[in-house]
Amino acid sequence: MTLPELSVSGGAGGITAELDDLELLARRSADDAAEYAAIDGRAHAILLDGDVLASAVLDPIGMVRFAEALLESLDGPHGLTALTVRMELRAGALRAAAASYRAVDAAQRDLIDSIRFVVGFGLGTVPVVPLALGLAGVGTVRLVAGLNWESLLTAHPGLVDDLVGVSPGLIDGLLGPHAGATDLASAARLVGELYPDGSAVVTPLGLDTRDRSMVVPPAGFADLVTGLAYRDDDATADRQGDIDVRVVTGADGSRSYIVDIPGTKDWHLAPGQHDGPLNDIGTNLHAMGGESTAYEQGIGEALRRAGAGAGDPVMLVGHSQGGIVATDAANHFVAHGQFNVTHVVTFGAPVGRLDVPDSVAMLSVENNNDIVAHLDAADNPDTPNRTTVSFDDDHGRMGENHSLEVSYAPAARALDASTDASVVAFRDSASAFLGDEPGRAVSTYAYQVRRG
Amino acid sequence: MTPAPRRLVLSAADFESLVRRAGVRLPPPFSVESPPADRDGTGPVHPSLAANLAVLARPDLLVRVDADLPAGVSRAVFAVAGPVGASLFARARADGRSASSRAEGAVELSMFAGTWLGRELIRAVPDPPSAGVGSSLAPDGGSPRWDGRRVSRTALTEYGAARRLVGPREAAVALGLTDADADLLADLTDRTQGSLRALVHGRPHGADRGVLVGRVVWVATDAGWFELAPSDVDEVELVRVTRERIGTRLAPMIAQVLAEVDNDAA
Repeated sequence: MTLPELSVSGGAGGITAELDDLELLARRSADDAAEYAAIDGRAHAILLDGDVLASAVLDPIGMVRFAEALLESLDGPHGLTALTVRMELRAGALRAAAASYRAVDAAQRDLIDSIRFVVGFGLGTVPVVPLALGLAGVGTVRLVAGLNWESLLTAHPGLVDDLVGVSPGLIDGLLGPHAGATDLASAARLVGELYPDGSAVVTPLGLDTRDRSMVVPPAGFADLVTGLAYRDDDATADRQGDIDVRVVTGADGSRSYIVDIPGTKDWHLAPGQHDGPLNDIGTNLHAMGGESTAYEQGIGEALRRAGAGAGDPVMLVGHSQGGIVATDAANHFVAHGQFNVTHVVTFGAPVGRLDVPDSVAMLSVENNNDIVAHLDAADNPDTPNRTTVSFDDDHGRMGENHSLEVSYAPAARALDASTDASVVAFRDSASAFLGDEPGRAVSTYAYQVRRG
Repeated sequence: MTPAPRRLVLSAADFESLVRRAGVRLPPPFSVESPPADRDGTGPVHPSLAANLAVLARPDLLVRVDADLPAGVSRAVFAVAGPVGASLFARARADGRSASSRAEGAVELSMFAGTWLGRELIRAVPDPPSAGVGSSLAPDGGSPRWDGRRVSRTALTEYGAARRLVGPREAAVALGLTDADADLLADLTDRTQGSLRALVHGRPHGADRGVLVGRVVWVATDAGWFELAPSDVDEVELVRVTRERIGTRLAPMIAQVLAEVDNDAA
């Protein structure tokens, strides 16, 4: 008969019990240290005792030997004083460790509480909101098309504040008991709780000829978006983490490289990869993020595999997180002389606070109604090598306002027709990548970048 | 032109009364646990406040930011539903002026355009502990060369306690650290004074597609904020960040939530 697999949490073997043990050990160490210190103090006092000092007059040599022996037993490397110090250190270290584990435990409880809230509202357990709200009841802010949310915001009876980054100044309180992480150890433990370990692994997926955008040289911005959107659509389910390198060969045989970097999806599933309470929530958890470094490493590896040399022109094209990664990668590749990144094009990426080497021409396209593009809370720098194209396109949905195909593809088509001096200059400078001259050809190689 | 954010600072009693009258369940740590029994007396909830609470009660995107520093503790949640964003914020200072009980505390309720989320997130990040005079006058401005360094996560978690128990040399040997890594860890351990944790959540509607969750962890040092970014097997990269970078660092997760929610609604 097969016995069922048991999952047990809490109780005597639970982490709370273990932390109690740790603190008990700390208290005992502290008690021991206090006791040793008391003995130590009494023993040192013997040397100052009147009778002992008086005996020194009668037997000075014997007194010196006695004092030496006593001090050795007290203050030598294995003496009582040293033991006291070690016990105190041990108690302090144990207390710190227990506090650290408790802080991590508290942070994990916060995580679970938040997840439970998210699961709860998803199940529709939220009570109906007051009649006074009328049509603007719970959920209608999102669900009712045409709701004038700007009127609601303007009619809000609160104070107006549009300063960026000013911390709340009138707030003090409404916090329950808290045991936040304040030490390095706690913070580092929390990093490891959600994300499985892994190194960047690049898997070649071969020559991709399935879409026109992969076999026809891009003539302009619209073709860039079409190719990036194709890769983005393709990079779902078990194809997540896909990127591609479009190798553009000119009529003269010269080569340039365009890397398409979609925004990432969820790459890891948390349940089953972790023990403990995260598995007991009763819903699937999809851990997001934590991948930029691996992503960037994978891009470098993909470029090498596609044949890019240190002097070949490279254009990095990214959407959303892909745009952030493209910008960071351009910095690193140029700083370390790995690749000759000459151009970066981003769509819907918050890159206003990211630096770009002066040698790199960067064009950023941002929908004014795209939340993600504005997460940087900063205008992009107005420098000769950075061009920002903004546009208004509101589809009433956050995702569509951020979507490559829905929002950014039309903008790219408009960009191809633009006669703005900055846009024209960028387009002209990118002639190694964009153009439909006779004899130009493109081959596209796809890769999957994962942490494995 | 997009309207500026609107804010309301409420006492604990007023906040709890408002939440009960609205009959909504708010995200932790701002949950009001008592049942909505008290609906009498003070009239209906202002439509804008009700909408403000509704965004928090049924968000498409939820971001929680907790910060613990020597100067105090702050807790904030940010929610986005459709084009609208909302937030709740509370703080307890460490200067003895914090409210002595929950009932005496206050909370800030805000409503803003969703595209302002990045600006609003910055408000939840306190200034890091200021550098001492000595370090600020150091040749490198007191700014250690930690940015981009990669360190073992095990060593980050164990070094501080090990050093106290067996001493720095033995701790470094036990953890297999080079002298440079041991120096880095000692410096970072000594100069870390607090942390910030940001959680990003979303749940696609409809079928049970699970919950999206992401977490970013920063440590506060007298040389500024540093993110502990997972980089490899048992390894994190130290990334220098500033208060203003919070939105950019959370962008990959926020973008994913927005895309998933939208895909599901489509």
